[in-house]
Amino acid sequence: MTRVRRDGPEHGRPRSTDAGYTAAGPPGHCPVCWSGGTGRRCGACGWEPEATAAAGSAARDAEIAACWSWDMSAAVLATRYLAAGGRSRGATPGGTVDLRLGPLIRRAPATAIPGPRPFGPLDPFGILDPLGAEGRRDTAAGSPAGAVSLLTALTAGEYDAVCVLGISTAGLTLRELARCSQGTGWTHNSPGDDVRWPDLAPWLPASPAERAFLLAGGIGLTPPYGTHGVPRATDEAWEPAVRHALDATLAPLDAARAQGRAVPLVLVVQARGWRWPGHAAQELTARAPAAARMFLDASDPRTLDDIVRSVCRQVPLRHGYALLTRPAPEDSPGRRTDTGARILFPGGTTLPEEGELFASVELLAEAEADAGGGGIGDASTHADHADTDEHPDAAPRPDAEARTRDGVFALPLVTARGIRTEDWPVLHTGRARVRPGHRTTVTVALDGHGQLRFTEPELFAESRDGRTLPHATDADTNASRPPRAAAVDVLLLLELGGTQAESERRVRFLRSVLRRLGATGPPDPGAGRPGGETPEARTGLRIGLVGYEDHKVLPVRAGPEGDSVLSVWGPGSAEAAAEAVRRFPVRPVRHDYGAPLEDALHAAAHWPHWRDGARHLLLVLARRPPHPTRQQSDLSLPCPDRYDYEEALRRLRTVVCPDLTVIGVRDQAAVDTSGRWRPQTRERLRHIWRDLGRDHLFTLGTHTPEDVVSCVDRALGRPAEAPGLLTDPATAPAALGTARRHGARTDSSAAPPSQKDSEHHG
Amino acid sequence: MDENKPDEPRFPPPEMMSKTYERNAADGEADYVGSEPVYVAPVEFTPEPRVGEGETRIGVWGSPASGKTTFLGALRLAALDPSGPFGRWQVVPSDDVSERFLVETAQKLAIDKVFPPATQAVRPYAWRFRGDLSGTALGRRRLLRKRPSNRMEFELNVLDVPGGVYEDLRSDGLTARSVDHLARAQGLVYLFDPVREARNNDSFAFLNGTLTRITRLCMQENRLDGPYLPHHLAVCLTKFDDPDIFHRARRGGWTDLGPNGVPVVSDPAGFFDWLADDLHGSTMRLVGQTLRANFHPSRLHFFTSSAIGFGTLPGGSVDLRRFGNVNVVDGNERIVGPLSPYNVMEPLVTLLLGMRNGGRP
Repeated sequence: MTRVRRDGPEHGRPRSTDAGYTAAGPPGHCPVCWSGGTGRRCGACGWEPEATAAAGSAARDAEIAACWSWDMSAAVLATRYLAAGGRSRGATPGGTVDLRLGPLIRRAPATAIPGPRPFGPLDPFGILDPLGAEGRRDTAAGSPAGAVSLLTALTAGEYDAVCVLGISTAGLTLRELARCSQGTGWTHNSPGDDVRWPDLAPWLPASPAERAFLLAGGIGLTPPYGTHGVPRATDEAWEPAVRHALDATLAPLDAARAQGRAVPLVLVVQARGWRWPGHAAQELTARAPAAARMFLDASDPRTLDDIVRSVCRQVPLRHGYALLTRPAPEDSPGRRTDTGARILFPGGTTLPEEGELFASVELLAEAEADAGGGGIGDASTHADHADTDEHPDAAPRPDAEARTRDGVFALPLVTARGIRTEDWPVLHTGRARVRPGHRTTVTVALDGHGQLRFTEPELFAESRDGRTLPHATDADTNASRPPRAAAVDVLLLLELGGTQAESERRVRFLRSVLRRLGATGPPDPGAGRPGGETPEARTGLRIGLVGYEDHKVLPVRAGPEGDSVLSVWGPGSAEAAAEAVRRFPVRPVRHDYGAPLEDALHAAAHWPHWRDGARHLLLVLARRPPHPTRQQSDLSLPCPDRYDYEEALRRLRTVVCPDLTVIGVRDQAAVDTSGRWRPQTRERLRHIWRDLGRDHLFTLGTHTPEDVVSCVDRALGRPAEAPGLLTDPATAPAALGTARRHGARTDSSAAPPSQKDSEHHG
Repeated sequence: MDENKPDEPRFPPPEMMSKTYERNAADGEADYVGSEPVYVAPVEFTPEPRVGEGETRIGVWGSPASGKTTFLGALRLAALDPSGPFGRWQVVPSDDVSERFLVETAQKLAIDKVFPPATQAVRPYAWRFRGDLSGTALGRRRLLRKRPSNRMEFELNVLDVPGGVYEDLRSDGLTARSVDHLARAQGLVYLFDPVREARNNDSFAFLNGTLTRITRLCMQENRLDGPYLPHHLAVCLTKFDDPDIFHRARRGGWTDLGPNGVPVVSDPAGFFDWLADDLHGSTMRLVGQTLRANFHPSRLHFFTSSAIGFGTLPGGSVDLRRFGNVNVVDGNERIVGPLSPYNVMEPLVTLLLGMRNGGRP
């Protein structure tokens, strides 16, 4: 059988038995590794050229074998690397050589293959650089212990930052790690651009296999050395490239140190045994010695960022994390503080290698009256006063106690840093509805980035742009709240399609929201008159309504249909809007998998009544996702008017109202009750609610109008009532209590059951 | 009809071999009389007569909800297209039942824009097809001849049964009658529903047992052609207008733009095999292997088809950004735009021409 090789025309040429040994090594250079300035013994490969020259033909065979051995080592390294990335060709897992590399290797005489190697100066296959050999002897070369030690010192404040230099088969990369401003997690920066070998040595071949072969140290039959201006000696060819790579990569580190910052360096060589990356690491030793080193194989598929993250996981927490609670009534007497804390993750905690760490604590949702006063009440009062002082014209608000009775509680996460619990800085506050008078389990996950998130109970309101919601002990964090707005524009988008009952449910919810908005909002100069407000009015709350019904005709057509699917009202006062929304018609459903929400969003993006300087808010109450802009893999038909909801939303958020707050209220009635929705349709529904609920997301039937109004008030800069804290039923001092630890879950997306099917942002 | 006669339609025409279009399958059936039941299941039906001269019996076969009835109903609508690559055809019902079915189904599809309900009982239909292949790729060019010999006429008999009767190991009178009908047919249209297969992975269950029984019947009657069944088979990959299937075809690079801006699959057999791989974990690969093992390659034809066709722009072209033609309201599927049957007549005509030129089993 004739086999045709397709590696290139030159590979088909017959070769003589000693092809490859060309005595190509330049005079005074090592014939094996082509290092220049070789004396009696080559410093790179250990070969003794003079001894070979004097020994005759037998030694010449040995030299040929050494050349073959050298190239074979490089080819093995390159093959392992290519195989790890799934790019090898014809190499078995056992480690044979890639098909493309075989013809490159300088051949040894038949007597030298595969018997014992004639000379032993060369390293075994797979090690061609001195540092690699060192790493081979050091069994802990890949251990991150040194890096962990440095990062631990960084969290303690001993260093300003830690730089990590990665030297890999791709090039050189520098990362800077610093402490998160909140004392949690890490910040990863790329102070400079990555430097790639092909940019440094443009004479490297374009083929990844051949490039890897040369980087590993191989010479081959047709080396680039000595051609096209490339020096004939390998080290002379590579020296400028390595030097330039180090200069370019370490420039930010040098600058930081010149400013007096204490920035140690961690070296991560992800090319153990490769000659030229190893040479760069060796040069670094003389230029800027690393405080810690890690030697990894080039076949390690992780990127430098992955490696850094895995090291960060092993750094123990400097400070623990805790959940603020209210002490049990029996603990209150004699206590000087009104809040306690349950430690979730104590200081010293380390993350597992993969996944997140979960901690649960069981708390009591105790109403204010049940608690016998004190505790949250005082703290709430403190927060309320702060709000009132800040906004002397604030409208009457629902009592915090009433909200506690409603079952809305605050879940403040704090860093256990400081002596008094009250001084512990708040990281994040969630709010959840919990059944009053019952115990509830709060579960918090600590992820690989050092960030915390609630997994249960289900949170119904999320902070916007990282700003947290108020809670009882957060009275001093009002700086994070937006300033109170004198003019407020609210546009409500309402899906009209559905049964009478479904429509009434939505309208009832919306009217309740509107009435509450009207009760707490600033007076509207043109109240009661839709559109009656003069354009020059610059204050007050104005409401607009856009109802949308299904498209009557779904086939494609040349232009937009004549009959609009929108019912537009306003702007007007909240009270007038509450009356107007009741008159919105009930429309039939004409398509199961989509409604013209994209038309409504397009109308919102072109609503002429958005006022400059006013606070802008969009509230969407919908059941079905919008029509896609083009046909996808499901049965959802594209919008016949060719509107794109993503484009409309982007325009709203970036051009029309850059400060826009979007509140999503989803009606989940009759959504995929038959289970016939295709995955793509479900995914689009999830996507739209993730997009619309980026600021706040609620569910009709689960959340109340009060929940929505509280978020609206918050977005509009109005004082929001402070919900209470959950009660810690533990008899021991609250601050000393620890949470029940779930352990790690390796699937980072995993969450307790209550969160699994939720689309709430944790 | 002799193949050597220059005025006869030839099969396969060179244009078809270049695979400009895909053909689709039709159905068919014949009178139901004839030989006594020959396989294990108790048979409780009247023996049907032998197929008469000029009659062609074609069986339609497929899993439940694969679109058999819709396919039959779309036959007449498809035949009305004067620009079709299969020539001009007239469909004449042979009896009242067939006429009623034809009219009712056409009204449902074209006027009411709904799909016909699932078949619940056995319904035999018979139609006479009168066609003229002149000027098409299927017809033979005739110089200096005036006789209209490109005209064809045949009687199509179809037994419309619920797809569930073809389920493996089912043995009752209805199944026996249906399998006997398929075994005695000269041509078979096998409707393969990839949408159902992607969801349920059970199409093989409605193929394997039935095919085994057909083989056994043909073996007993000494009709097997070596290892192959004597039938001509048109395998129709139905519901090609479904966005999921069409997107897969586009992703795999199987579609070209055909005449009038309608997408076509140049190599439906290759697409069938590719889709079997793409629907990883399904039984589609088994289905393909079974069909290829049981039917002679020259008598096996693949088509992508759609009884309702793509949603079209005015003028009949397809906008790839919005081609869906099915709207679901309250869980019921409705047809959105005009009907444009896609590869419905082509499989039938291909079978007929193949049977004429390849001889009867």
